[in-house]
Amino acid sequence: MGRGEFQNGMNGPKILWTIPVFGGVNITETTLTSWIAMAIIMIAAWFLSRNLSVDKPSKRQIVLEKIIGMLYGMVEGTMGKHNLHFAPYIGALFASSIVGTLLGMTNILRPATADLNTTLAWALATTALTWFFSIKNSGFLAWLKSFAEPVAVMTPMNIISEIANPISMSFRHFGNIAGGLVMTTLLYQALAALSAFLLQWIPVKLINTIPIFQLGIPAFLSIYFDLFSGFVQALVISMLTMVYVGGANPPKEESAENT
Amino acid sequence: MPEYQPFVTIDVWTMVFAWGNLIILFLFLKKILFVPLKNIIDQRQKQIKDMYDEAQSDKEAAASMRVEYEQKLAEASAQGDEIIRSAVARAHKQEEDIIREANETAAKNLRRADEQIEMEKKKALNQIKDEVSSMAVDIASAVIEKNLTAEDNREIIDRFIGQLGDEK
Repeated sequence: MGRGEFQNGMNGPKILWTIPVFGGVNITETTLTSWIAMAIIMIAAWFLSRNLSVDKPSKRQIVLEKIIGMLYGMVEGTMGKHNLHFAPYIGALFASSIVGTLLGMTNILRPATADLNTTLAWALATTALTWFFSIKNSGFLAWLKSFAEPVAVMTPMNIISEIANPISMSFRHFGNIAGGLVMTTLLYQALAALSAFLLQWIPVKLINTIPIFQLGIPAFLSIYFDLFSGFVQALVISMLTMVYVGGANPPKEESAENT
Repeated sequence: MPEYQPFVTIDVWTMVFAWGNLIILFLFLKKILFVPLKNIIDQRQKQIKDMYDEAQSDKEAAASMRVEYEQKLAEASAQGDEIIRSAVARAHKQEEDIIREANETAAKNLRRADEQIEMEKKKALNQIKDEVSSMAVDIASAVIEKNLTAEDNREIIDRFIGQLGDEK
C-alpha cells in the first residue's frame, strides 16, 4: 500500500527484492523510485527533443530551448564558459533530484531523495569530480599541499571541511525531503485521529471510519514540503556541485597565471 | 511481512544504483537532448550570422551602386548641358554664317549689277559716240565735201565727243 498505510514514512525504504549475489543486493523503494524517475526523465527528454527544427521551432521546442538555455546560463555563470560541457551532468542531477522528490507526491512511491544513500552518492560524485579536477589541474602534490594553506596549522581544518562538504550536501538534501516525509506522515496520523475522534458519534459504521480530514488538508503542506522544498533542494545540490567543480576547474588563463 | 531498511543507513548497493542511474541519465540526456539541441542552436546562430553578413554585404553593394548611379546621373546631366550648350553655339555660328553669306551674296550681286550698269553705260556711250561721229562725219562731209579725209574728221570728232563725255 505504500505511504497510505502511515507506516513506512517513519521507516526507511522498504526492501522490495534481494538479489542473491555479492552477499545480497537489496533493491529498495529508493532504487525503484529512481528507476521510475529516470524512465520519466528519459521519456520526457526523448519526447521534447523530437523533430527539432532550425528555422521553425515548435512551441515544445521553444520551451525546451528556454529551459536548456537557462541551464546553460546558470552553468556559465557559476562555472565559466570553459565548463559548459558540465551542463548535461548538472541537468541530469537536477532532473533526478526534482523528479525523485516529486514522485513522493504520488503517495505510492517513496521519494528517492528521502534516502541518504541517494543524496550521499550524488554528493560523493561531486567531491570525486572536485578532487579529480584539482589533481588534474595542479598535480597531486600541489593538491596535497593546498590543504596546508594559508598556514600549516589549518591543515586539519581544511581536511575536515573537505570531508564535511559531501556530508553537509547529502544530509541537507536528505534531511529536507525525509523531514517533509515524516511531517506529512505525522499530519496524516493526526488527521486520522481527529477524524476518528469527531466521527465516533455517528452511529453508521461505514461513515465513521472514513478519515475525512485527510482530504485536501495535506495538499497545502505538500506544496511546501514536496514542491517548494523539492525544487529548492534540487537547485541547492546542483548549485553546490557547480560551485565546487567550477572552483576546482578554473579557466585556463587563470590557472596558467597561478603556476 | 515486508522488510524495512533503517531510516538513516548506508547501503552501498543503493548508492551504486544511484551512481549508475545518474551516469546513465547523464549520458542519455547528453546524447538525446543536449547535443542535438546545441547543434540546432548553433546552426540557427550560424544561419542568423550568415543572414546578417549577407544583409551587410548587400547594403554595402547597394551603397556603392548608389554612389555609382549618382555619379552617372551627374555625368549624364553634365553631358546634357554640354550637348545643349554646344548645340546652341553651333546654331549661333550657323546663324552668323548664314547672315554673312547672305550679306556677301548680296554685296556680290550689287557689285555685279554695278559692273553691268557701268558696262552698259560704256556700251551705250560707245554706241552713241559711233552714231554721233558717223552722223557728224556725214554732216561735215556734207558741209565740207572733199576737204578732209574721213580719218581726219573722225579724229576731230572723237576729241570733241571725248570732251563731251568728260563734261558729262
